[in-house]
Amino acid sequence: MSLVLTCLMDQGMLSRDSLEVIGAGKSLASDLGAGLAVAVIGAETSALCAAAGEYGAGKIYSVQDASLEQYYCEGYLAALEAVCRECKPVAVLFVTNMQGRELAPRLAKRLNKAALVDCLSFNVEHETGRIIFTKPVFGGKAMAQVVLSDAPAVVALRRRSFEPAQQDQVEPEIIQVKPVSIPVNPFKVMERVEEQQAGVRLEDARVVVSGGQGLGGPENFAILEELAGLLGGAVGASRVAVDSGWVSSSKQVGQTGKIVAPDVYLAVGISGACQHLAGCSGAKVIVAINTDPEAPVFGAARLGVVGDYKDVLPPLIKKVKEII
Amino acid sequence: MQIMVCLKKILDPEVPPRDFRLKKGEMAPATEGIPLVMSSFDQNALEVGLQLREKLAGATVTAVTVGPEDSEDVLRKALAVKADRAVRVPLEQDSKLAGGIVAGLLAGAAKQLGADLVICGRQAGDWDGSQVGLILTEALGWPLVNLVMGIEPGSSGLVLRRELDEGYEVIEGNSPLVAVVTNHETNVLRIAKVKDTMAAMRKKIELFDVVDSAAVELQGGRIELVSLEIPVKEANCEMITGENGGEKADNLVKRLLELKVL
Amino acid sequence: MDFELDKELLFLKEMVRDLVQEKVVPRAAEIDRTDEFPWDIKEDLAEHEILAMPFPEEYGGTGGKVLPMVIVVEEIAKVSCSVSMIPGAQCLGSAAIVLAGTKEQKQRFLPSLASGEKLCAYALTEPNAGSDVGGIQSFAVREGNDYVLNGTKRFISFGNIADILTVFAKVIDQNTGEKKLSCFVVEKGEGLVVRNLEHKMGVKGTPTAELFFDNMRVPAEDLLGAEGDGFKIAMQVLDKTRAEVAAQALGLAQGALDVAVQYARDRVQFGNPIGKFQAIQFKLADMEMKTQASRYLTYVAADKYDRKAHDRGKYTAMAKAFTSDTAMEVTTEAIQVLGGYGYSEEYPVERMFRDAKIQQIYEGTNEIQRIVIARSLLGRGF
Repeated sequence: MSLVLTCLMDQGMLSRDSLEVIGAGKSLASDLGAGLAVAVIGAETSALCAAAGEYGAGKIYSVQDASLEQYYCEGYLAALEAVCRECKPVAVLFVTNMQGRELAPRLAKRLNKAALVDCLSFNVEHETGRIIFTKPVFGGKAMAQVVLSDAPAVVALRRRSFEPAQQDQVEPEIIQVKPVSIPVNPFKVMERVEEQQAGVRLEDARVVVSGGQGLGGPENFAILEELAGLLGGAVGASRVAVDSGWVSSSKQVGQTGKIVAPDVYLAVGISGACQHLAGCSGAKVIVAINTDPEAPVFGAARLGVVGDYKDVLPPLIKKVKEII
Repeated sequence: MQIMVCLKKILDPEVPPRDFRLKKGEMAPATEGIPLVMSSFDQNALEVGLQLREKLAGATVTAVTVGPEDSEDVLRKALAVKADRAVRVPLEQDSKLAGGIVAGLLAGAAKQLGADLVICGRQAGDWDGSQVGLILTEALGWPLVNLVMGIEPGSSGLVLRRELDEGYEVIEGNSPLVAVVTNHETNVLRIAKVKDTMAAMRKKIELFDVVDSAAVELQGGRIELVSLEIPVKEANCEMITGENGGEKADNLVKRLLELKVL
Repeated sequence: MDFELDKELLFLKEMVRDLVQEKVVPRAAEIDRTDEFPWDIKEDLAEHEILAMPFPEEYGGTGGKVLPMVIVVEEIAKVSCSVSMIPGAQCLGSAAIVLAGTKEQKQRFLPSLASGEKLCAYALTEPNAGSDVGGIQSFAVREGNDYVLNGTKRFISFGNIADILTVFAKVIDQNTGEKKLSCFVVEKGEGLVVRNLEHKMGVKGTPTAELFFDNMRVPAEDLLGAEGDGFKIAMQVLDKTRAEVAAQALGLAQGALDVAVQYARDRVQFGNPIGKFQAIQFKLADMEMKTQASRYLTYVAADKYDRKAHDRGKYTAMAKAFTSDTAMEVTTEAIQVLGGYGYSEEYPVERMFRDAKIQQIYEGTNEIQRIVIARSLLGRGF
C-alpha cells in the first residue's frame, strides 16, 4: 500500500501545525487510496508516537537520537531523508512553518524530486490519479495549479488552511529508522529569544487587531494593544510597520508573516496589499478602518469604517468596556 | 571573503490587483505598463551583504542574476549601491516555479566566483517559489541559515541573526554557507547617491556561462504548471456610517454582536 | 533624432523616486501643514548628493548639468514642490558664483554648498524692484578693502537660513556718483538682519525672508565679475534656473494628474468609475496633452542650455512660462476631477494647486518671460 508521509516537528505534544498536517495527510491518503504514515524525530519519541496514534497515524516512522533533542536543519534533514528512503511515500507533507519552509525544498532536492511551498489546497484528478496542488503566486493575485512529476511530491502546506485532524485512536505500527549518519549542527546557538506575547498567541487569537502605515509611528500601537487586551486578542501588523521598526517582526501578518484565522480581524490604517490579506483571509469577519475610502482593504473586508482610527478607536474601546 | 548576493528582476509586486492581468493563452502575467523591480527580499539580501562587507576588511560583494539581458537592471542597481562586481548568468525563459534551474545556475556561478558566502532573498515576489536558496544550498553542499535578518563577523566565523516563528536567535558558524534573508527594519536596502548612480551605468557586467550545472539540475523532479488563474473576489463590504467616531464605533460594535463574532 | 532620455538619466530618475518614496512621501502633507523647513530632508538630499548636482565635479559637485537636475527636481516636485525647492534654491543661490566667479571664489564657496553643509540664496528682488531689475535701490560704497552694503531685499527664498547669499546692489562711484549694478557673495554675519518671514499661500516650509543690510561690510574680493556686471549676471542666472522652475511646475502637473487618474479609476458614481464618463476622460486627456508638451519643452530647454545653444534663453523662458501655466491648469482640473475630496486636505491636489500659483510668478513672472520670447522674435528694439 502506498503511503502519504506527514512530518511532525514537535517534541512531546502535538501542536496545531501537526494536527493540520495530519488532517491534510489523512484526506490526501483517502483521496489516493493510500495509507497515512507519520514521521517523528527527537531524542525520545515515544510520547509523540502515542499522541500521533490518537489521531489515526497507523504507521509511524521514528528517528530517535540524542543529537536530535532540539530541532536543527541539517540533523532533521538527514533523519527525514532516511525515513523517505525506508517508507517510499507518494507524497511528503510539511507545514509552511519555520522548519517546513527549509526542510521541504532541501529534502526534495536530496530525493532528486521537486517541492512546493505554501500550498493552499490539493485535489486528486480521477482520470489520471495526479495530485493537483494549488499555490498562491504573485502575492496572492493569482493562483497556480501544479503537478509535481515523480513521486514523492514534497509539499509544505500553508498554515491555517487545512482542518486539524480529529481524534481517531489507532494502534500504530512503529518503525524505528536509523540514519546512516547524522551530521552535527554546524551552528552554535549563542542566544535565543522567544518573544513572550502578552495574552494569547497571535495565531490562536480569536480577535486580532492589526496596524499599518496609517498609524504613523510605534507609539500609536498602544491603543491597539489596549483594544486587543480588552477583547482577549492579539496585536498584528503589516509589513510596512515591521520594516519601519514600529513592531517586532513576529507580529507581521501576511504571506511571509503569520497566517491568522480569527473570528474578527480588525485592520487599522492598513491599505490592504494582497500580500497582507493573504495572512488574514481566513478570518470570519474582517473589519477595515481607514481614512482612504478607496483603500483596497475595503475590497476584502466584511465591515468597513471610513475614518481616522484616532476618532474611532477611543469610543470603540469605551463601548467594548461597557459590554464586557 | 567573497560574498555573492543573488538578485532577481520581477514584476512590481506592489501593483494593485486590478492592474494585474494574465497574458492571453499563456500561463504568465501580462507585463505591459507594469514596472519591473528588484525583488524586495533580494533587496534585503543585498543590504545584508553590503553591511557585512563594511565590517570585514577585504570582503567583496558580487551581485549575480540569472536571466535575459534586460535583467541587468537589477545589477546596475546593485552597482549603484556599490556592489564590487556584477555577474549575469544568461537564461532566456522565465523559470516560473521551477527554481531548480535557477538554483543550479547560481550554484555554478558561486563555484566560478569562489564565493564563501551566498546570500539570497527568501522568495521572489513574483512566483513566490521560496526554494532557490534552499536548493542552491543542496547543490553546493553547504550549511544553510534560513530567515536571516543580519550577519556580522564573529570571533571565529560569522554571527547570524535569524527569525524564528516566535522570536529570534543568534547563531555562529563558519563559511562557506548559504544565508536566506527575510525582511527586518535593519536590512531595508540603502538608496544610492547621484554619482554612484551615474557611474553604475558605465560599469562592466560580466557574463558567466554555467551550462553544465544547469544540465545536472534539470535531472531532478519537475514542477509542472497546469493552470494559472486570477481568483474572482466578490467585494461585499458593508460600510458602517455615523455622524462621528463615537457613532461609527457604536454601530460597528452592534454589527459585530449581530454577526456573533464578539 | 531621439526624444527619449538616456538610460543613465532614467536610472537617476528611478533612484530619486526611491529616495522620494522613502523620505518625502511620508512628510509631504506635514511640511505643508506645519510650514516648517524640513531640516531632516535637507540632510537626506545632501547625503544622496542631490544638493551637489548644481556644481562642477572639481568643486565637489556631480557635474552641474541642467538636464539631470531637471529630471531630479521634477521627480521630487511630483510629491512635494516645497522639497524640490531645496535643490532649486541651492542652484539659484549659487548660480552667480558658478557662472561668474573666479577660480578662487569657486574654491572658497562651492565645496561647502556642494556637500550641503551650507545653504545659499539669491537676493535680487526688493520691495520696489521685482520685474524691473533696474529699479534696485540697495547700494554699496567702496571703503578700503571692503564694500559697505545697505538696502532691503524682499521675497528671498531661504534668505533666513542661507549661509551664503548672492546679493545684487548698485555700487556708487563716490567721485562721479555713477551707479553700477553689481553682484556680491555675502556670507551671513554682522550687518545682515532678517526682518520678517512671509505668510504665503503655498510652497509651505520654504521660508521667504525680508533681509535688511545695515552697513554690512563685504570684502572687495567677494565681488563677482566687475562693477556693473550685475544685470548681465542676474539675467544669466535666470536663463539657467528658469529650467528648474519649469521642472518644479512639471512635477506638480504630473503629480496632480497621477492623483486624478487614480481617483477616476477608483471613484464610483452612478454605478461606474467616474473615469467611464467622457466629461472626466476629456479633462484627463487635456491634462495629459499639456503635461507631455510641457515635459518635452522643458527637457529640450535644459538640453539646449547644457549644449550652450544660442537660443537657450528663449527656450528656458518658454519652458518656464508654458509649464507653469500648465501646472496651474492641470492642478485646477485635478481638483475638479476629485470634486469635494479635491478641495479637502485629505488629498494632495489642493496643496499642488496652491504650490502651482507661485510658479507663474517667481524667477521672472510669466509676463516677463513672454517679453523675453517676443523680443527674441522681433529683435532688441522692441
